[in-house]
Amino acid sequence: MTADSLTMRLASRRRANWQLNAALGALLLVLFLVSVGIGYVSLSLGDTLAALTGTAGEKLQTIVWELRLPRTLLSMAIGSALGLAGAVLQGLLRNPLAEPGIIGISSSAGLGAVIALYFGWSMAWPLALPASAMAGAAIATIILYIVAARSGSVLTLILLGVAISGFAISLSSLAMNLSPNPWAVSEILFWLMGSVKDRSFYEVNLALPFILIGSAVLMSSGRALDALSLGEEGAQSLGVDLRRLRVLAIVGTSAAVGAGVAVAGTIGFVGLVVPHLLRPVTGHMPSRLLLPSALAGACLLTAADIGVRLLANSGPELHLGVVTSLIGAPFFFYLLFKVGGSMR
Amino acid sequence: MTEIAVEKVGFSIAGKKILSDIDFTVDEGRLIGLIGPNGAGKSTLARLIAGLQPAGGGRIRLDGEPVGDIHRKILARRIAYMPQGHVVHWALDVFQVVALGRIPHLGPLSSMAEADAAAVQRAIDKADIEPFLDRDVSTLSGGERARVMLARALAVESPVLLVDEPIASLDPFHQIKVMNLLRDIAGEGRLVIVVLHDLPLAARFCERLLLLSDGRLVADGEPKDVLSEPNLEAAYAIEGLHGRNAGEDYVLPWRCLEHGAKSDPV
Repeated sequence: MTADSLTMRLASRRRANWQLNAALGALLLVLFLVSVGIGYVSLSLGDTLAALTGTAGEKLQTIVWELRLPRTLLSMAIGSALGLAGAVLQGLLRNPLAEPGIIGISSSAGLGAVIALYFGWSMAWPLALPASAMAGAAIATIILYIVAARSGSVLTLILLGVAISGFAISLSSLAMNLSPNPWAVSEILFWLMGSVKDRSFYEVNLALPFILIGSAVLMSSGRALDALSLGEEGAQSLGVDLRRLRVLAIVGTSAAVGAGVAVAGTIGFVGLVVPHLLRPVTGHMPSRLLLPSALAGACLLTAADIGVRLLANSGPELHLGVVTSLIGAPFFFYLLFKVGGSMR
Repeated sequence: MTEIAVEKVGFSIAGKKILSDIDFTVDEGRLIGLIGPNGAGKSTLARLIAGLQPAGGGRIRLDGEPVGDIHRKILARRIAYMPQGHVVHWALDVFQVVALGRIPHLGPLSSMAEADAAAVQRAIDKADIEPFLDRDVSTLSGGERARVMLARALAVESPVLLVDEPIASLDPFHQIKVMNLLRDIAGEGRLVIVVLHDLPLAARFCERLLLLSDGRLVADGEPKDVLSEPNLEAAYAIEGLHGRNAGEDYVLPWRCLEHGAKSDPV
């Protein structure tokens, strides 16, 4: 074989990548339109497009712009942040079970948000909510990294995640327990279950910039993650600055996941399921997994949110976080059995 | 001309001396073997030369420039390093693993160009791994995997190649094959240092040996001098069997000496 056939091999890989991303992008566009069109008042495609472009009647315009669009944008942004953060954390820790929810980053961000709400910081300064959530996520990510880098075993990581989650959840419960206002408690509790219902552009504006910045930071780690598949020394010998990579992953994950949790509560398992399903079609290459994971995460969460609204016609509306956990937890069991046997 | 100068290098971990006062200069063209018993500090020395850890004392220079002063990315183009263990964390196929060797040559946004594909192809040909290019590395045998990792290091096409125990898990056929390959690469005018445990192969294929024992460089020179009976006794606590076949000297590890291993086994 010659170098030409290798060039062709590279070209066909790039084409396959491009096709995958285009297909996921198209799917996301369809889900976006469905999500904007579906709800108590179902809109036709024509009405949806008219409302989005500002040529529909006032009532439709209000439904789409004030109710549906913020909800849809949040489900897309948060889903993509979770999918991407899952893919990056798995690459960084070289562990297919790493996921913001399972390893305690989401619940720590939740704790950060609860603290901001409890002490009333978010009333004094709106950005305190995402800032506090991101700080919670950052602290958890740093602890995880320090311990996981030392032992590297799947089991340690999961147990550590259990410990961090448990601690964060118990502190959140403590805050609710001590809260003098029962109404605030049910608010917090509902919000912790994870949902994008009844969100407005206020929440979108609060979270979206951080999610975008965090995602951009995470996307830039691709090549270093590829090198890391040869282990830390192998990666270093290929010119990767490990300290920089860790900082990128921690800052990116905290910003993207923390901001999402701040406005939509904790939504689990998206970052676990999505990279796992896509890994075989991206040749298991960490860098090639990133963009598809972001797109598919957006698709998955948007589809789940559509499902939630369709089910709501026959009863109370389920929380998005409850739905993703119901789907994701059995998947996690399956992965744990599969991976747990081969890695310690 | 490529030259590595190790000047009075020391290294300790948590107060324990791993290396002390290592001093030598090596250059291109001849295969250089780094040998010594377990725990002698061979791998540590290889890591220090590759710039993966800063030396505790002294200095290592690559063509006159201290290794620590060279930007990591530039250094990665000049020194290729193949660690022990042959770790690959994901189920990548062989081609992808070899292509990782081109990472030091890629810009932040550029992807593999034709020149990179040509370098990957040369590495594949040299290591003779074409037949399993599409296989998942996790399904390869130990020997196949070692050759893939070697090809990965070769794909960097760096003037310096550092390989840590490339033949540890290989059958005799592939051991000889890999040693031949390393000697040929050195013969192309590259600086190749190989960490070895196998004394007969070190004696036959390397043109210069550096013998480490207890973190010190105890012998440096031609194989027949380095693997002399007093050195084998002092460093390895073994007796060697020396012989000659078809004009080539050989040495076999023959018998343990009574007083046991001198170095602390890991």
